[in-house]
Amino acid sequence: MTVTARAAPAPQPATLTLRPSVAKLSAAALETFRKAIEKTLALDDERGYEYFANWHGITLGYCRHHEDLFLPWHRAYLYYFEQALRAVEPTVALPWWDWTASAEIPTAYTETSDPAGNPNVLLKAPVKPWGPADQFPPETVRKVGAAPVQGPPYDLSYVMAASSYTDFEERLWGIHDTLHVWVGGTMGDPSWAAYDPLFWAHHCMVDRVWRIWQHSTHSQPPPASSLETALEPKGMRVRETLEVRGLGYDYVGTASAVAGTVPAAGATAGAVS
Amino acid sequence: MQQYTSDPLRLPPAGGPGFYRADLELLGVDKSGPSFVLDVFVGNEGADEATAHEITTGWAGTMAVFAHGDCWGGVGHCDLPRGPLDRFDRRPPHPLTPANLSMEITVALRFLGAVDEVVVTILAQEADPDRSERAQILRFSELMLVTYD
Repeated sequence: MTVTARAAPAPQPATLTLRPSVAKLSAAALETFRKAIEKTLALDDERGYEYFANWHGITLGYCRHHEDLFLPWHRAYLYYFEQALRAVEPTVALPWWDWTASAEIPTAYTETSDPAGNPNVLLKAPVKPWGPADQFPPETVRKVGAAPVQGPPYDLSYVMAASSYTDFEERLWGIHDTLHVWVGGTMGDPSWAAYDPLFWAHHCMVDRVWRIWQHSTHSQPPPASSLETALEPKGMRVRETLEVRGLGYDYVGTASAVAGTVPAAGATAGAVS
Repeated sequence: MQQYTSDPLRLPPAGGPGFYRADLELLGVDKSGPSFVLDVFVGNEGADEATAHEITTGWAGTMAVFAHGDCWGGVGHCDLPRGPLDRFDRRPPHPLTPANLSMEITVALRFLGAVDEVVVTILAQEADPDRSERAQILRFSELMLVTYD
């Protein structure tokens, strides 16, 4: 018998993922993001896009709405999905859609093809949940503006003025719900919403707004009674979701880096210009 | 479109200290069906889909509810709701547990002036206009008006 000792992995410096605005994505960063989506769409197991879409709606339905766990659950959800994307494209970061600044869905999510002429994987995605599928929609669709609700841009001043977690979360989920319903189609139904690539940009923005409010002097943590709650299905606790840098990411407007005095072993990830 | 008109809800007595904030709370909202939209009016029993969304008409706000959607599970999948079976049951609440939704209506209520009570009218409609409308889009157990002074 031959026994081979496995070399200990070299310690790697932790790198912070800087989530960018969709509007500021460089062409190269957008291409990387599309590749990550495409690669995860091709995976039919627990590493794949469909698996994570299943978490939210059909068939696993773990999502939490209209309660204290709304923001923590979705923060953990984005974290695990981003990890899956980074497993196939190590430099990718989830972009956010700033629906306070634009009345339109970002063109990255609406154009029918990418610059190379391939179908745009961010326009729509197949709906292939686990389980019987004879009545499921075959792919995601949007009915933008069909619902009788106000579309973006949304003013966040009322949300950001909240000085209790409950107030803040309720005000933010109001905008969250409205945006889902405004986009409509499969985005307007929790069962299918997470299959739409736009879902992730929307929730990235929701998570970013929470992060920005956390920077304010009047922000509050979720109720103490929920802090030890384990979020399905991975068991991350609410307390662990409170500090985004502890999860290895942050939201920035701009970030620039220059060489230091020793060669960089790991650059800051993300694509912020 | 479904129209709900409440019984009169009491307000702090006119001439008193008033309130600095007022919330309308819909308790026990059934969100087991498709997403829906609520238009809320105060002091306007006749509000309908033609009523303008302006403070002068009593419009207090519009709320979209990203609801559960149709049931795609097997028989009993969406039966309402299972609670913890006992103290060892650590599962979270059933996702269809009715929700409590809140809307701050301070400005709309103040606009009514010195009144002792108010009637709330809620217009409910399907979010997806291509859906055939259910008879009861909005199902909830209680409407509460809370003021803070």
